[in-house]
Amino acid sequence: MKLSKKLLQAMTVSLALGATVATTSSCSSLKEQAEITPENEVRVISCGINGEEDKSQTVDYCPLCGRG
Amino acid sequence: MSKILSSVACNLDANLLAATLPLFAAEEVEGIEWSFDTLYKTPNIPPWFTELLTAFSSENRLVGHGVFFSLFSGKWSKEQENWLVQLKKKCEHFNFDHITEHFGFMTGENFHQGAPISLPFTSETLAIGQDRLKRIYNACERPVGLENLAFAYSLDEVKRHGNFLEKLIEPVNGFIILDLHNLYCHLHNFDCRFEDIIQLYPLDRVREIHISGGSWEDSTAKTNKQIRRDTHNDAVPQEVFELLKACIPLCPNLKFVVMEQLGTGLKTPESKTAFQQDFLHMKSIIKQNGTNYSSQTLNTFLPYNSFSLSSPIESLSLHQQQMRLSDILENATDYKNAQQRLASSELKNTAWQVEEWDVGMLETAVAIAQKWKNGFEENKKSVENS
Repeated sequence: MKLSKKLLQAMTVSLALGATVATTSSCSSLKEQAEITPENEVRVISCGINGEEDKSQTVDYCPLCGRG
Repeated sequence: MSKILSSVACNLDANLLAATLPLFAAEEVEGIEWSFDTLYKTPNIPPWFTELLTAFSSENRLVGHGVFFSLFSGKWSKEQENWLVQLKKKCEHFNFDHITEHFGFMTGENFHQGAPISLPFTSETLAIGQDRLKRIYNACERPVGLENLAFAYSLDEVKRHGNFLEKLIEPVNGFIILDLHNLYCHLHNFDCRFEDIIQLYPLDRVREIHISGGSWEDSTAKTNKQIRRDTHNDAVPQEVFELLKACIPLCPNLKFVVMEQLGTGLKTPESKTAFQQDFLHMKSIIKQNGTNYSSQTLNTFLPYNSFSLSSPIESLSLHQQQMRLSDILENATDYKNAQQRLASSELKNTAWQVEEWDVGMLETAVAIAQKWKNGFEENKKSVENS
């Protein structure tokens, strides 16, 4: 079954961070490893898994607070 | 095109979802099964997980699989009442194609945090099971089904399991989940043949099949014998894929085939790759063996009559026996100690037939009960820390 690109992006980013519990108010668990641009884009600085490989990517949807 | 949907058991677990994500992205997953009662302690579910469930729900490709109802507890509990309330709420949000639960009763002090264990197949337990299934139907108003249990005390119980399941689901015109790894456990643990056991199941009542992996455990009770356990923590054995090939043509009402694996067994890239390969192998088997299915629905699996239910049926003597059995299994030092305690308990010379229990399976029951004694979350923590 086909899923939307937006949903797959949200899952990709959140799972790369190992996050399966939402932080509803301020994306606190995402802050340390990502920055949210003025355009509501989430730029992932590090996947946080081993710290060595650069897995930076830009998505248009915040997986934790839903902004975007 | 086959009407059978290749599905995955999909819960809020980072390792499991990470393993499944490439399959979602490649549009390989046709349905998902969600254990809707496992998130009661999770206050904030990520919006994307709800969106995932909604996407499959809107296409009639979401099924609900309960874990903690404890269908056969002799005493009706507040937890069961709350479980039904939560199920009703979940069904207002999601369009589950059907709802299922496990056979058995849960060990543990309140019967809702242990592991499912079997029980005598009597008119008393039949009445309780039928009563509970009617209540589940009234809460969800969707087809209701029961899964065959991996654990059995004896070969006689293995042979009678399918027939008892059929009687249980009859009033709700329900269906069964045929878990092929559970069947594989029976075939190995009791040295019986697939051809002899499968004919004892109501195969026209199979709407869902499960496949999964498990583990081998050395038995101190039986020399040179390993016990197969349904631990869901490893890849699917080839023997289970062979059972799938054999069963698909025998089940005319089959709609979902679900692959299950716990996230605790999916930590490494290799295990995630094996999971994806298993799923694609399952899908190819379904494609090869499920093409002759009619697109016409043979059975709606909805009750022929509505149910007006009074007070839940209870058996306090069964409740006392279950409490005693849980206590023995959870606290015995080994299977011999469990045997001694059973022989001096109110369970002796009853329908439980504790005198006939296979010693290897009693040893397994002790291990299962003690593994899940402190509930799912505590067990998950101990596995992750190991």
